[in-house]
Amino acid sequence: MNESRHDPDDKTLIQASLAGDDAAFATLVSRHKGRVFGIASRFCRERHDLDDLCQEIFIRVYRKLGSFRAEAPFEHWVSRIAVRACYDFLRHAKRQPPQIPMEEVSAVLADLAAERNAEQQQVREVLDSALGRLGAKERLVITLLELEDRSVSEVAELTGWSEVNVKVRAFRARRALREVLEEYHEI
Amino acid sequence: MKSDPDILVERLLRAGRSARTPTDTTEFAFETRLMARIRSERSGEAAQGLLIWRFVSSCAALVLILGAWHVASPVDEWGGMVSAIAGEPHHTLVAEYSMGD
Repeated sequence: MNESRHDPDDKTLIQASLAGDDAAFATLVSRHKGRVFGIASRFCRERHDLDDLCQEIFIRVYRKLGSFRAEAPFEHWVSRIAVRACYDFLRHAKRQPPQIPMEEVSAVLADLAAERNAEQQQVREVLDSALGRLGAKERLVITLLELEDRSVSEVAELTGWSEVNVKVRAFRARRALREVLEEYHEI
Repeated sequence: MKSDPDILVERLLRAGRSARTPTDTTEFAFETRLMARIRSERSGEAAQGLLIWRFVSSCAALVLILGAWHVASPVDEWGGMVSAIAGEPHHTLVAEYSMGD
């Protein structure tokens, strides 16, 4: 059997979802969840929180689906919703930054200072702990610009901030991160 | 000797770029969990809507019954009730109250 199968495009799936077809929406989710998990996992590492956050993002997508105007690709629209949900998550997260042993911090910083490859898991932990001490806006901007490697205009579009604002917040975020690392280095 | 913090920030961010948290296990069966939550929220909203509708229609029926009863009942019924309770005409009570006695 050699029947060629065409996957329906996003537009068709959106129309079907709006008409009440849950399977169509599940297909949309399946198609775009990788991107959403990619963004959300930069802000939240706990598996349970990550699952909740991604569900929250797709519930927002589901509720706002009727307002999607197809002026930009669907994935851009979903990314924008994802970034805003992550920002809300950062603002409302009432958690302390993760506590990690100072030996681990020292080991990672020593590796980085000596330009050696640090262990990825440890890098993630140190970075998460350092970023956890920044404000929500600073953490969002530095994550999108530096870790997600997006341009200033992309970050402006995703966050709804002006490009000047993005640059100013990025500058402050870097300064704050430098202060955190200096503090780590002194301990 | 301490390293320049700016260089450390740069290197930490560069290392962090490739240090992604694996999400494969969280992504597993995500659609199933999400659709179950959407369906449950939808049925919860429908049940809530039904409750509100029942409450509103009960209130409307009560208002209609009270209105009909008010129209059908004698005009001075309230006055009669107050007089019966106070043992004197209600307008005397009102006059005394308004004079501050």
